[in-house]
Amino acid sequence: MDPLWEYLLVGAIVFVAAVAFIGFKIRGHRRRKNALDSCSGMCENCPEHGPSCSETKKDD
Amino acid sequence: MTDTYRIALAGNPNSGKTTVFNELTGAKQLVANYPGVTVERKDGGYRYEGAKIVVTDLPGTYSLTAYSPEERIARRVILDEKPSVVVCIADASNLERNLYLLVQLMEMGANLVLALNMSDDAHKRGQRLDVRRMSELLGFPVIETIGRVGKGIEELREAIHYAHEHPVTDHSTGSEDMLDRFVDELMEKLPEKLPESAPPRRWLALKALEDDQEIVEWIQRRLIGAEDFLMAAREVSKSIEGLVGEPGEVAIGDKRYGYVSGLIQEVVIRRIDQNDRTTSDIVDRVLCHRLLGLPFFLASMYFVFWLTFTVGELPMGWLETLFGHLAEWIDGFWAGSEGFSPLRSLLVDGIIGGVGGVIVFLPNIVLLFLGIAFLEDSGYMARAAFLVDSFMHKIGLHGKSFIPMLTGFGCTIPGIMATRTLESERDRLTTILVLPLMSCGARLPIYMLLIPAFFSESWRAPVMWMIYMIGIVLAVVLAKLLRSSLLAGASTPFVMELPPYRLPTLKSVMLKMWQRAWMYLRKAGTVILAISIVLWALTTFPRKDVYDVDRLMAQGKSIPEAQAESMRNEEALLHSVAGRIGKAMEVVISPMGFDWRIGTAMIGAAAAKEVFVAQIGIVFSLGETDEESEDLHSALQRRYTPLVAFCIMLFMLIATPCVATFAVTRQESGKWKWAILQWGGLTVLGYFITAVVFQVGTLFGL
Repeated sequence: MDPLWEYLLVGAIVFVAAVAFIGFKIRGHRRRKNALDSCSGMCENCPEHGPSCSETKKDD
Repeated sequence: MTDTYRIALAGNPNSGKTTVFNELTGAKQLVANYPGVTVERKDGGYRYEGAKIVVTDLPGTYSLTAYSPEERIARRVILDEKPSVVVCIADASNLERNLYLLVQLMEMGANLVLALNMSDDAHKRGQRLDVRRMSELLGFPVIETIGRVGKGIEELREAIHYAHEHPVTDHSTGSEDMLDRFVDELMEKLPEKLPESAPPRRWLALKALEDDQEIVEWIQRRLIGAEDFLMAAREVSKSIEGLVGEPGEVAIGDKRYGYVSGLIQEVVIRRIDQNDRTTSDIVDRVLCHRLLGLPFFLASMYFVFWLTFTVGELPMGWLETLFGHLAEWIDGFWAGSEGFSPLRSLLVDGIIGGVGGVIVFLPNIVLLFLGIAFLEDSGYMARAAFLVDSFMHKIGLHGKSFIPMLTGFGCTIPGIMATRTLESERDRLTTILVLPLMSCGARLPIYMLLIPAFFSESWRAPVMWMIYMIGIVLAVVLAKLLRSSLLAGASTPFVMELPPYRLPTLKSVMLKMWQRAWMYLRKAGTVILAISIVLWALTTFPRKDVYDVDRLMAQGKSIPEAQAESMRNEEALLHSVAGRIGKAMEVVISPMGFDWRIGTAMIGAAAAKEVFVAQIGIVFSLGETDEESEDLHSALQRRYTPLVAFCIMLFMLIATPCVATFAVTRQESGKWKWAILQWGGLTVLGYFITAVVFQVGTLFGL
């Protein structure tokens, strides 16, 4: 592959990864916040572990 | 049209509700053999004879007062959502305590089915019940079930459907007596027309007599003439006290127990022999022994860690080989090409070195949680909480705080959430603040990378055990400090409940292992992948055009090519953004024995602890040449001593709780100051302890 194209491709991947990382963090924070707002205790099913409390909330 | 209706599962903690829920719905909710697994509600569903049934698993409660969040949630679901059928799951070998809740559900006018769960345990202990007679007396279906093996579940489905089609909501809870007459009298004082959403009249009267604050507030908000009614309730309560010598609340409780006793008398053909020790009692004599109990707990944890290392080694080797082959295969595309290829480096050094380096520890994660799931489901973890109860009292907490701490071994976040079950705000804050010291699953890959690299086989399990124990001991010491300074105050009284020992079901243990493995893989494929790519870029760029080593060679200095290549890589790393940050950090971290490479690996670990392993993988795969390629373990051994490895683990255990922990602590404590105190305090403590350990260790020539 042409080195220039390789650099452009790698640059794009790094950019997407950086945006995705911030996105994952924001999504994780939102899910945790929803879970904390809706569940109230021994929460083995928190967003870190499985079906989230926010999903439970959706069914309410 | 399809008939759709909602049912709710209510029951005491540890009565097997979640197991029955899973059997009914085919769902995969977590169960554990200690009370309090279900605090929030969970929904699932199944189909029966063409009807769609939505099932809500309510939190385990002993009663339906408004004292705890569990009770309030259970009660609100039953009253507000009015499920068509409420299935009361009762532990058949603890009828008296379990049926107390049933009586309260009857008072609420719920359309009921009673499931006598774990009936095999009761049978084994000699209990025989006349289930048909019980059903006749209660006026609704009674089914014997063994949720663990799915026995009686089909009959339960049939009974639920029958109850839905033939609802019974007007229950009699005993013979008319003086108390009933008082309740009737109070019911008369209620307005003739109640709001549509109002609970049954009799229940409202009973709750007013019990001075249930939530219901009193509801009455004040929703009823016309509320104050007159509440005044009447207070007078009636006084009259009851005058006659029976006990407040209305106690008299009502006594009447419920009286009804339960009578019912049991009628239906029990043979009682459980109270003198006959159960297997659980016999086992407890050893496992909960004052002197033997704690060593046994420590030994069982040691065994789990030993299992994690020895059994995990083989599949871990397979994964390492797999990723090695993958890297070679990708390398093959650039065979023969000269110079630096950013794409090859990204794929091989960044993604395989980073994400692959984290995934290889999957077998160890699965094994650790297999051990913990077994201990939980067997009922032993509840004993662990009981064992530390008296000790916890001494530090101003109680055994109940230990359950969230145990949850923290998996992940700190649910551990912090679990503190919501603690009534005292001081207990809760103390537990939240020290919880990150319980070594979570994210730190495990760090231990799994460093321990086998620096310690001989016989030392691996003891070192890991020591790391976990240091976390527990530090948590206890810090809790004591907090309870005698910032959060001083008396501890709340609490009686620990000991569930019977049970053989964990394969399904539950496998489910826990799968959920843990899936969580790990999901994190590796999302957050770790993304941050590995970013960290790779930070560790690779800017590139250096001219290397010092080449300049030296041009000046005529003879350096073997392999060594020159290694020096070039080192220069390139130091020239990169991450290398510069690491170098800048070196001044601060060197008292702990850490160099700039470890510094760069710690940058990403703030987001998630596993990133440390990913970044170490990237740093060392970039730093090595093909000619002298060696595995990560050898590369680490070459640069660091076992003392440095131990210090890394110590620092990662104590310092810098992850970003998610910081956010959840802020949210749960309601104040930034607690989150900052936790993060800053633990980081300073981690720094201080690690520096002392390194300096003292160096003095002793370790």
